[in-house]
Amino acid sequence: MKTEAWVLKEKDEASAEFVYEEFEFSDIQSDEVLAEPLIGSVEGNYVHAVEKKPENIFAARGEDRIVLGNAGIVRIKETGSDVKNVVPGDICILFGNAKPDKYGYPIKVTGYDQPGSVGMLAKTIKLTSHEVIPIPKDTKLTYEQWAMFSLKFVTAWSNWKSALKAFRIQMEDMPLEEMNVWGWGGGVSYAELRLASILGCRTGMILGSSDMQELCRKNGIAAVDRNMPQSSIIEEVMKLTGGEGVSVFIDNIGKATYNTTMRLLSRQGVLATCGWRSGGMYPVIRQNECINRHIHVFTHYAPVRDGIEAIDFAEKHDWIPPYDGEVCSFEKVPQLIEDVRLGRNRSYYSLFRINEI
Amino acid sequence: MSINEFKEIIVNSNVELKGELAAEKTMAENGVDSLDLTLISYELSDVTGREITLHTGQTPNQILDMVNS
Repeated sequence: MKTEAWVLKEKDEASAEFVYEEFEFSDIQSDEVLAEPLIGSVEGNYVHAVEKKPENIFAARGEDRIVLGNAGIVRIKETGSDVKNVVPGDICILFGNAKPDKYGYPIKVTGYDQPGSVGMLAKTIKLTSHEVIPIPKDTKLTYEQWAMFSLKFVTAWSNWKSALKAFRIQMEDMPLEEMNVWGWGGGVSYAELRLASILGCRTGMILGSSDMQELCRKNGIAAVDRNMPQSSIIEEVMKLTGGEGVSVFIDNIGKATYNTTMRLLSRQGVLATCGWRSGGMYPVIRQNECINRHIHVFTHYAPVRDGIEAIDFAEKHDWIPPYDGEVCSFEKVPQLIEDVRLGRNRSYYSLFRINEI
Repeated sequence: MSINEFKEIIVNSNVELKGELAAEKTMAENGVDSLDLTLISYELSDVTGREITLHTGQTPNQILDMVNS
């Protein structure tokens, strides 16, 4: 099968570049589907791949040409003989758990580090049937919202489940309404805070973008300006949490924010992480963490059961991604990814159209 | 290592000082607490390739003497 695609190739030691050209992959097998990508969503993995860090994706896959793309929606064109969950014509979210462990948790991601996988940056792709989940027929969400949902909201769902259970290990009786859930600015963080907010928790985000601050406030999430000095941020958050500090802190950034995060985390608090935007390493100050009885939760994307639960919850409880109407054309995708890489994007959610719906 | 390089390490540790770092005052007097100092130690160990443990009673000059010895 031949298709047109934005193919990522190594440029030099520290970068890679996109080239628009023909890409060929083998015919579908009995458990695979042929699909047309419709709307894609730029995610952190694109930046990791282009910058070749924290790992060189070409070396990890043993390939010199890669079609990236681990989030968005696709239309099923053909199905293999053993495929039961979708039929041609279905519109599905891409569920990028390409290689789960025996418990269902992802080891490798579609359109990123799974060797041989073809991601959303192609006009036609093939996927294993477990990499697609159909969108409900009578959905309240737009296709654009589902494209935003496919990775960030599913990731948020799975991380929240673990974080809340971890918090409950020590704080069994605290009502959700008394829990303070905060995070640093970002798309997954926003999704998780909206989820906590819907469940009744007091929520807040520390972020720089004024547009996103407005979005948070409109949706019941307090917003604190990240550009303030650390002491002012701490003072403001402590004031907003009634002096308690943060029960569950979503920190998907890392090194740059760790110091402030640890100062804001309440006793018996949970540090929840499912991303690593700034630095993969930070010191754990064991005496501090023991005395404060902190729990650290690390998750990565989700098992398929969490994806299905997240979709169901979204429909029933209006857990809906924001949509500002902007979808980039397929021709301009490399520029969009560069804007995301450099932090020039206005929104946490950057979409592009591959094929017409 | 110079005092300016040490100041750069503090910035890279994401530790915010309230004022200018005074080389003769202790780290505690410079407003650095144990969490800050652990982050600075971590960065310093990474840069020098040696495991360096600091305490808040040390001055920047004493720390530099230790690092440069």
